[in-house]
Amino acid sequence: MDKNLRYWDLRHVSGEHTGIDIDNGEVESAGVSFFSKAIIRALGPRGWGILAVSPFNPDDRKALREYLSRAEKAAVITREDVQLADAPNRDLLPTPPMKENPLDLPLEEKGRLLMQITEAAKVPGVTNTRGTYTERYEEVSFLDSTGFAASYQTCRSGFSVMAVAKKNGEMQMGYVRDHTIDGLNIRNRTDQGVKAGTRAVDLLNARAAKGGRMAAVLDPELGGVFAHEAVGHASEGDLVKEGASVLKDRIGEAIGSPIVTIIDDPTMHSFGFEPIDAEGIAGCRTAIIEDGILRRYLHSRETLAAVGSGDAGHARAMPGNQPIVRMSNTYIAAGDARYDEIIGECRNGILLSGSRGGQVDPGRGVFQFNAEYGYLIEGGELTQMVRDVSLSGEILSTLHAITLCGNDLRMHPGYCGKGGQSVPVSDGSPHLLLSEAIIGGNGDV
Amino acid sequence: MYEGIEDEIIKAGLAQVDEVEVALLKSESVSIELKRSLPAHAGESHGTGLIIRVIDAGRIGSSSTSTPTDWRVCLASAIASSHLAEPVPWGGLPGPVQLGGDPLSFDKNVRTDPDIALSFCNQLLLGASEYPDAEVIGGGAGLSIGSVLLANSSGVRYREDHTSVSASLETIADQSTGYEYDRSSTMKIDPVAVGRRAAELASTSRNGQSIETGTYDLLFSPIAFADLCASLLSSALNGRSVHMGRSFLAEKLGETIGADHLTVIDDPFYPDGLGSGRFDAEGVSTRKNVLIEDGILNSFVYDLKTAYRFDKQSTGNASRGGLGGGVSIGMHNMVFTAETMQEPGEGQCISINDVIGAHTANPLTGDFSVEVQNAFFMEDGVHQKPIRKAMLAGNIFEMLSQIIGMGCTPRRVGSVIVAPVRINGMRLVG
Repeated sequence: MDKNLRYWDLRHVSGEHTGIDIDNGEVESAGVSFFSKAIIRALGPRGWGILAVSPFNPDDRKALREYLSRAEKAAVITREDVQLADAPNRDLLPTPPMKENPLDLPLEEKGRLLMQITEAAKVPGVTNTRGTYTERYEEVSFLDSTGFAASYQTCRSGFSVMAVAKKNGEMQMGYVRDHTIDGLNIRNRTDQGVKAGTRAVDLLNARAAKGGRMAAVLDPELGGVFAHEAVGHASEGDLVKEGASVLKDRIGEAIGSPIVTIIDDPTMHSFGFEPIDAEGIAGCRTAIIEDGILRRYLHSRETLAAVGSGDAGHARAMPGNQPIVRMSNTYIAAGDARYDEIIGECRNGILLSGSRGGQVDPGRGVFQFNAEYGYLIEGGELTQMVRDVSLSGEILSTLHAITLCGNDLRMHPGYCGKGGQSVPVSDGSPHLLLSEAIIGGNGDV
Repeated sequence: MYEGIEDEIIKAGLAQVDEVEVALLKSESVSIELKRSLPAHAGESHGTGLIIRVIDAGRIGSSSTSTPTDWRVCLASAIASSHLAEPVPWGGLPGPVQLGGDPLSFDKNVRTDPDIALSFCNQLLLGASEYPDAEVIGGGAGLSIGSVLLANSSGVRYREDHTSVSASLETIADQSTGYEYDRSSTMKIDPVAVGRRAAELASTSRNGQSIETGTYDLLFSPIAFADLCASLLSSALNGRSVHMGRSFLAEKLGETIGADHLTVIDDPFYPDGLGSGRFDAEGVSTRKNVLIEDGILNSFVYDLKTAYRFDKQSTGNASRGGLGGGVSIGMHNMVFTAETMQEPGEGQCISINDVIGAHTANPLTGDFSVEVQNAFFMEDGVHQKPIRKAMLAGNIFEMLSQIIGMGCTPRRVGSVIVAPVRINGMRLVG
């Protein structure tokens, strides 16, 4: 290795992404994308030179040498003094066994199964349905200048179903999605279609929520989005290192209610699982917050060396993209409160359910996310259904406002975007009671 | 590389299907990423993509690969996927026409030279240094050059080159953040101004005041307006959503849906527009489409398949991004204009530079509630005290009717072109 080159690694991902789109009972389109992409990183005297190549031929050693030399040359321009922490755990985590390998099924059969789900969404009142199936088969090879080499395959697949209901010129939608890493999940799932259809119809009768400050209960899906958006992102080591996180310099501080424990666990066999991260490190369970105290950050080797207080093994990347610090499976640990206890204790407020996504400014410490639907809580009981209800707030004050944690933790799969890259994740939570939250809505309820 | 491959693919495809379309994409880029104020990553990328679409008895299939030499696998996959698709009353791929003119989103002065990217980074930092209390978190600059070759079995052989230049900077001052960027198809970007603005936003947003919940007159920056409105309006104008009953605007052609001075045009010829081009993803020559004129809904946008299916004309709005590299419907450059106000921040209002959570709006109905970012009390166009936090709730389609006017100077936000927008009477939750 050239003396100016302190370290290099190569991550090559090849595979195929398959999709089927069913619109109102007809296969609108289907298609497969094949790819072979590599990212080559060379750590020069100071910072990184990075080369993205597509297509990449792993058998062409001469080309690899040339790519490395280009990456090394590129690194010369950098000025940041990058150090890499040792991260000795390089044994691949056991991959969850595949119940039914999606690759074994012909495209037509997947189309037929997806059609069953979307047709089931046509409950009375529904005027349009749409279903999508996605399948991502990836073969990953990693190699670095220490001689470490590893490879593995994953196949993630899943579906979404959407139903639109109309009445008297009003229109609402219901949406259900599920993705897995352990095999085909579209058999016998017509109940999910019915759920999407019924939700759309129910929302036609829901009232627009009125915004304001009130007590709120988050369901496990939205609670998971809170764990991910509000806490997970702010605990990412790159943001902490660059001064872009409100959690910077707070290790050991009580930043939330003592009943709050938040964990990111790449070893969990959920949708964000990876056998090794994009730097070839086997991840470990990282308790970000324990009993309200900020304990650890999520790290790459670089951010661990720069910041400390946490674990490497959290660097992830889309095929052909550079590794960045990301979450995997993020959740708020279960407490001991029962669901009915939480609703009763809330007394008057709002239950927020499902997620239409969220966003955070981790530097400012402010987040926003939207629920798919909700219910008013009056006198300790659920009453009127509401729609278009959102939650925003400041991370730290919201963490302190959690007064009850349920015993019903559930994980939900999804995709998370950061730095122009989208990676599979899951997040989850039990039902949570917030003593005060800022609820957004457009109505006069 | 790969010259002539398109003829080989079309010939092989025509042995099995009625029609074949091939798109060969190439790109190269360089970028420098700043971590705090230091160049930390220097990157380059080289990529190719091949997309094959086949049509057989009205059934459309598509597949893509990053390895063009593997085109036989890709062709077989496109044909297999066409078997699954429902047939449509297909009227054929377009034949060649004279397109003429220079490329619309290309600047021959753009070179993928890391030293240029580095000089842009230095200019970003120079601009930011005017607000020393704002620290740089990160940012960077990049340059890319790409080309698309589109060929089909009706004789189309179009080639278009495009370039892109970008610079962005993120800053923080205490707990206030600032972000600014610019992206153009030409070298005409101003990294110093980008850096200065990012730092100014963080610096001047410090010590924010709380705001009472209530109804306020608002001045949306082009970024805030584009983030909130453009993608949702674009999907409501998508011909497929309209005919499938998923668009709020489906039954409203010819009706007033916006302020009587609001006009929205999809303009594929907008100078330096990032979405500019003379042909769309399936070789239909592009044209200006007036979507909303004087507040009246004038037209939806179509690709060939949707147009054939619902007895309309393609508006040249096929874009790449469908499954297997297939076609979907998209805008080129959405240009918003309205009555010009000499001072859109006149009187008292709240100026909003950006919002958090724009993508969480209800895609069907347009109802939204988002958190404002870098918002200020404003008097006669001058920023007063910053606002610490506030949630903005409303409906995107109603907002179009509430537009009072726009400022004089439009800016590019991705492929949206809009000036600052004044909208009165919206609800903020403090």
